[in-house]
Amino acid sequence: MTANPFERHGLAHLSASQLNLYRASPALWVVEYLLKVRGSVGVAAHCGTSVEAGVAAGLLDPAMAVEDCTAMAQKRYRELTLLSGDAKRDDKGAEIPGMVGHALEALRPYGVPSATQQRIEVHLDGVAVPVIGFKDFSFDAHGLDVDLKTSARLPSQMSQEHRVQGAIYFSASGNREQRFCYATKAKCTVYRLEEPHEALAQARRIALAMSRLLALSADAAEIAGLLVPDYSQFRWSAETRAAGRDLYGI
Amino acid sequence: MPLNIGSSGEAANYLKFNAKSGRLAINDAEGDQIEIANLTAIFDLERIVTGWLRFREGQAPERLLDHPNGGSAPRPEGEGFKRGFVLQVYSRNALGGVREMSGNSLHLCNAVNALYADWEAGRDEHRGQVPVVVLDSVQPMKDRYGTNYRPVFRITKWVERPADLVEVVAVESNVQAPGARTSAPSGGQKPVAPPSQSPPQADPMMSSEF
Repeated sequence: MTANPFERHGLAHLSASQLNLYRASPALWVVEYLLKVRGSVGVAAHCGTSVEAGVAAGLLDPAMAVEDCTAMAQKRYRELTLLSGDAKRDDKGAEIPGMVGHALEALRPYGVPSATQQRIEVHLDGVAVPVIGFKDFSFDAHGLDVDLKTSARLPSQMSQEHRVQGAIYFSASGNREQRFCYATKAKCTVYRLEEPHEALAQARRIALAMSRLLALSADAAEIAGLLVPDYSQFRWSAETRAAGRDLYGI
Repeated sequence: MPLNIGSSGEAANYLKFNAKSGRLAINDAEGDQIEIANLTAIFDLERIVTGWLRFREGQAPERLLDHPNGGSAPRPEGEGFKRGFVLQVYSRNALGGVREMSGNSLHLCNAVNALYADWEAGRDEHRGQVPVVVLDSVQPMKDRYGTNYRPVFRITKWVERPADLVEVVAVESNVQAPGARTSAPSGGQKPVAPPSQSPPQADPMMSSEF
């Protein structure tokens, strides 16, 4: 049986991160997902992972003191960033107490989640491989899911990238309401994914475009020949930039 | 400058031109259509709006109007949208007052475009006045769709804006622009409150997938 375009390039599934990266920078997407070159994870991402661990603990155990949840998050952060030489490590770590505290304040009223880090899988029409992901917090009693996002500044609305992510969860969960909880060190707000079908159409459109590109050739270098990198984009790390220079010749 | 048409929905009181028959018609209080043999009325061309319109059998007309500052609205998603116009037309005797005329058919739009050009040519000389327009004739136009009719409008005189046309009639889009999210307020999104009822505490003996 002829492999589909994704499988020809070793891609058994997609993710919201992949879709968003492909839309933002197909050239980087080729480096990361076809050449399998990834940059090191930054302290901001580690901060998010750590805060989520602390918030999850505090939601699953409503009696747990916020200070204990924060301590758990900080411990996790220290483990993840032990070898990080990033100058922003300590500053980022200092944001954790505020993020954990504000997120718990916003989400404890939802009650105890029915699941955390629940794996989801959805097949988009016409896309040969599934899109997978992990929902942060499921609240079956309310028929909704919440994804936690940590950032330096509170956004005024959900970004297009988060809308795509939310749409994947929406479709995978049987059209449940998706909410995104944005936590900074000073504030927290929760947005509902609005017009999820429109966001899902975006996700599908991206996946189909990806499929068409991959169908052109089984050779990643040949596909790269159709693309041009923009290294000014913040997503490029030192590692992927180096790989990009080899691949694209610029 | 020509109107941005090509080629508000069906207003409560409307005036329509049937290109197939070459006739004008209005609706009565019961919603039935009544043909009008002759028409002399004020066409409020100063306040004409343009945009994308779609008319489908059995459905309310759909429209996405151009920006007030003159920028074109993007083409809405879906088949059948064509460039068109929405215009207020007034005659107490012939039309019972103000009626909305809209359309996106080729011949009607070309006719209104020509009328608009005539209005533009004369408006400086008639500041503060509005044109009285007659339907002079209809011209048969043969094409691959058969014979349709194009109205020929003519400005006969200019008069002071009547009281019934002083207030601006709101003409609004009822179709979303592609990619637009109507529920997001301008400048941001509205946060949501937690669900109104907290669920009962989960049985601590139940395992989660964590």
